[in-house]
Amino acid sequence: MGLYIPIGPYHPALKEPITIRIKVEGEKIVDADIELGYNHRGIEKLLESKLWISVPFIAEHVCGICSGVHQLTSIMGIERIFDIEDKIPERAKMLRIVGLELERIHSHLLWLGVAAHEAGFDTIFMYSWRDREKVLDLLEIQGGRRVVYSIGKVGGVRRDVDDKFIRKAKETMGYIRKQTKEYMRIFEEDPIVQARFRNVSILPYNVAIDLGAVGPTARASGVDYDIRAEDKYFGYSEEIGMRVAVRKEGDALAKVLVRLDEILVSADIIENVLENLPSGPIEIKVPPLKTPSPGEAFARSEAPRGELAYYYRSDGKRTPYRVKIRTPTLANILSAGYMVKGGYIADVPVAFASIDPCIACMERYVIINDGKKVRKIRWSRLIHYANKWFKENLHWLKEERVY
Amino acid sequence: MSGEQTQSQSQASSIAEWLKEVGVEAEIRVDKYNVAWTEIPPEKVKEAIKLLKEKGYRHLITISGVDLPDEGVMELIYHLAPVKMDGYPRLSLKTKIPRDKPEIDTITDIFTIAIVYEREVYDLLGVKFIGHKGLSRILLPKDTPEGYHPLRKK
Repeated sequence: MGLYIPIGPYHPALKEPITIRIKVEGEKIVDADIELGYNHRGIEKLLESKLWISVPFIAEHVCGICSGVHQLTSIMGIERIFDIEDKIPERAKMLRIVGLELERIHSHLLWLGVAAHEAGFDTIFMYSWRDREKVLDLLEIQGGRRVVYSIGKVGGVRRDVDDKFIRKAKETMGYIRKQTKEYMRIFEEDPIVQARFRNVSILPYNVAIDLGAVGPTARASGVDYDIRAEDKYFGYSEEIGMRVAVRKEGDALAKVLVRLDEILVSADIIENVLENLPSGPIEIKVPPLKTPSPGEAFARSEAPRGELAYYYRSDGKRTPYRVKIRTPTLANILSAGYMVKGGYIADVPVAFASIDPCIACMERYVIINDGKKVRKIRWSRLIHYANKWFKENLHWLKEERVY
Repeated sequence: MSGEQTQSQSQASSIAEWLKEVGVEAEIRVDKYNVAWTEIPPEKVKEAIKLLKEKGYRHLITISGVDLPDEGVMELIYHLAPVKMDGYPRLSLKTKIPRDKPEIDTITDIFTIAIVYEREVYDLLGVKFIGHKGLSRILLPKDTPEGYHPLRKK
């Protein structure tokens, strides 16, 4: 006999709109059920009515945080449909990598802040979001906007970078590297952080494989799988500093440290690429009404949250016949359900935040309220409850958990 | 470049050899972006995916569905990726099911994550996966009228 507690949905913009229905016995969670569908906007259907070259500019609105990777992966697929991928200039490819890695850094810093905030550690939240602003400044110079920056277009990139940008980027990368190492030290040493993150919501290696987890969620469980290293799209390689960050522990702390390690990798890549930026054109011209021959294409890439895949079908018209998007959060959702089980109610915020969920990415649809009344716990109240509970129970938890 | 092409062709022929084990004569086309495309009959899909998983295609990327009303079929595409197999292409396994009776065996007992992917295809295209426990709408509201699937063309 257990008690069901529904958590969420709360607010579409800030904390993700999703319902987690947990079954509890005392403080322990014995079962968890995740309900989706609060933020599906029908983008796949919308894309079927757009010209091929305007598809990327809708696709980037799938997600506000990782807009660049959505745009560039959709471009990758379209360039395969048009059969022009091998004609893309080297400089354009390298500038795409710079954009993608800047985005990875800002996404991971944003997530670090959110994860720390869920555990009640608001100082880290403030610091990491301050550092993220510096990265957003760079993206603003490169793309023209802080978010949804439209770096690429079919055939290349929209804007070139100048020496001033390169100088500023290198300076910022040095700063980001210094700060990231400091955060790593805090997360490895601080006893409060350890109490909230270590041995919490463990995802073992074989379960991560079995549930099809992707991205940092899987890599924190020892799964050595990164699409940048597997597919080598846009010219990712070891020469520009690409390496796969892996940890074996599988707990929430490992997920933090993997992401922090990835920030360091991204900083290396950006510095190396900008150091040896090839000269030449940044785009090839693609006619706006270009019609491809009938066919299909598949493209995938490593988004900040994991593997992102686009599938296109063309029937020889000006618009796509079918576009299919598979976002990383959907692949990680079963893992999130698994990680919540067996823990305490107070661990739910950290456990769920540890997959870095992006519900806006995962769903793509209009919200329809059916008017039914459900008892809800607001996320903020749950965090408040979790922090209070940990304050009161830390003394005996310390004995139960292995440090 | 030509060396790479012949290499992926040889991998493709070894995939074709594996598929013969489940009784499928499949023609495999590898495009220049290292994606292999093949089509097999729907009743063989489950066996074929089970075999491919044993051979090393251990990662199911997603399941795509395409509605083709002119041909009277729905096409399902299982996107599989090899894990730690050098040089093997990613594999897109296609199958066609009749549009008036869109049914196919589930693969949730082979890939657990197919639970969500199959629910998504069911929700948006109305394909019934036989043997899927809890096949219900995932993105659309639960009170959406029966038989309404937004990505169907007609």
